[in-house]
Amino acid sequence: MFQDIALAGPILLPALAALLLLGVELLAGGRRSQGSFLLCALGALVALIYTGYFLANGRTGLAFNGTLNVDNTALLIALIVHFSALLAVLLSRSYLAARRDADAPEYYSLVMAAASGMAMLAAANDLVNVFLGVELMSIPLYVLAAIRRKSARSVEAGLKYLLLGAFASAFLLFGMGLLYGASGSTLLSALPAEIARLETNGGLAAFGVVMFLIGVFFKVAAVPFHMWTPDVYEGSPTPVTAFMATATKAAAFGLLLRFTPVIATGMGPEAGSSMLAVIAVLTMFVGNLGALRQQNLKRLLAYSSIAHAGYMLVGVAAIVAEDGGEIALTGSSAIVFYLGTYAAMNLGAFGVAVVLDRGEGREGVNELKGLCSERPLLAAVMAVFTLALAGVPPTAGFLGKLYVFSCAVQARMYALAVVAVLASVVGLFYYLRLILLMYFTPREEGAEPRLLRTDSFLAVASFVCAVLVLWLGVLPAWFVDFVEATVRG
Amino acid sequence: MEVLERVAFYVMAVLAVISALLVVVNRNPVASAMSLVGAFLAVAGLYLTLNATFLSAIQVLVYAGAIMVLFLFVIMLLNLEREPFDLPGIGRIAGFGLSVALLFSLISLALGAVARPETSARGGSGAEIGDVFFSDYLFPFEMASLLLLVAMVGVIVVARRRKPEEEEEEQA
Repeated sequence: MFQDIALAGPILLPALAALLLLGVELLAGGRRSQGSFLLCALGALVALIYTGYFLANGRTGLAFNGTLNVDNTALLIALIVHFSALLAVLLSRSYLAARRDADAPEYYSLVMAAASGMAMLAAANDLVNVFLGVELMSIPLYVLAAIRRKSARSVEAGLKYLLLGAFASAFLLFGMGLLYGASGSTLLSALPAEIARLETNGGLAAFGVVMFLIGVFFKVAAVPFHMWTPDVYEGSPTPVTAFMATATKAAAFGLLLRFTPVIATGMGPEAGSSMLAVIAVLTMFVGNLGALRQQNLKRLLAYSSIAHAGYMLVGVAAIVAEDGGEIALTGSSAIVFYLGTYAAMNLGAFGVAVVLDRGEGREGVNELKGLCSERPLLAAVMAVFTLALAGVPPTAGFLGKLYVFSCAVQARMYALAVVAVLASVVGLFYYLRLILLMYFTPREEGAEPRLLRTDSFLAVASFVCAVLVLWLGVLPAWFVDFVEATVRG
Repeated sequence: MEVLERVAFYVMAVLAVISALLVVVNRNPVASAMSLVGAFLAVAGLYLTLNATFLSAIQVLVYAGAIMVLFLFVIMLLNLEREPFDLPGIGRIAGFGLSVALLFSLISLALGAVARPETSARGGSGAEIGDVFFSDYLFPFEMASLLLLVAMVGVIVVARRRKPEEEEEEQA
């Protein structure tokens, strides 16, 4: 029993922090105190260290009668989730301080609850746990999106996310029901064998897989289930957007990686991988083309996050195509590497967006104009993140793309790899436009003075992200080896 | 016994389908809601034929009872007007066609041998469910309580009314 609880630590620690935050607010009472911020940051840090400790010592295994599979991939995903949560919390302080319409203790408590759900999703080995993880991740995010109740955009974001999220949950549940009907089991690890055994129901299982995937595609914002993303990312408080874009993706891709054997048996490797490839191509192009004409920094990053989901789906398609074998390992480690680097660069970019934020609907890219001459350090940091998102060497973004695309080549999906490279070339345009704005476009005459909202926590967070992005780009060997070694177990 | 079971199943199934159709077809929202109660009761009957007594009781108590009362309250408080009948557009026809196609393909697939769920053989009494909840499914059971708490906190955060001094602070 204690063994089980210890293994579930990456899930239970943030849950405990969420409960403590609610309790402390009751006892302390001061709504404007820094206590909840510090407690939340501490909780995320403890969860991060705990997960890292388990990972480093190879403490993995099944817990709670096999309903949780805390393997290395799950721990790595949990590590990314807790890292995102910690950094998003560090970004939150200056953002919330500038606004009076969000409740701090509940805000931090909900962030921790969502982190708990995401860690649960990554480790879930049972359909029941998958569903609870998805909901425990999503419900706090719906509320966090709408937490600025005086802001029409924020409330709109929350409502849109809630309605479409409920829709996605219905699809997910329907898919689970069909999968259960086709296999008689709710254990994810047992599903492929059971589906194969009851071959008469191949069609039923395929239906179930497609429904399940639609639910997951909503969560990772894959085309054609991406409609909510720009509005929700724009309307939510910026640190919440950063958390959503990085941690939700990590958790959902963790689930997808665990689900790949079921896709391969339920739909067949051919059909499954071609469906995923089509979705990946659509996602990459819609994301990149949509981002080209965005004037709002948060909307631009939203489209960019759609495109990045597409790149990662390329890796998933490759894994499904081969169904097991070597590529399942290299593909998983490539996607996990991508998720980790993507979390660092995206959190950094959103951190800069928090600094430049002028409030409601005015997060325009024009704010970046002439940033280099006024704030050279801030501009340099933003340039690092932008180049990383574009996938330019020597940043980590380049290596992430390289690993994922080479999986497609390994799985002999050459066309897909070529299309993916073309899509990232399209992406270069709008990322480079941001750099041009910062370095070569002077600020307009008579523009309002900048409102630079920053504090030491935000500065530390951005600095950590920038260092990680560069370090993983220049000297990736240790991290790649670490990820590969742990994914292989 | 076999025959009786079959008869009970078909009666409940037909009732469920008819009342589900009535939910959609009815133009009066209150009548729709009442048909939904009928559908829930019929499904509760179906659970009984599967030996799932606990689930059936919960279905009646929670869905047909609590949730539908809430539904009716909301409908009556909102004071909805009857929607004027509009002609079906292309989108609607396409949606209808798609769902019919989906329904038939699902039915044809489900007519093949479906895996027998384990619980229906063992009987779904309260004791049996409690047994499973506190052994195999202990973790999801506990996490569900956290989920419910979070949902409650979330609702309060979104819907709470501020104290006047907090409002002033925001204005400032």
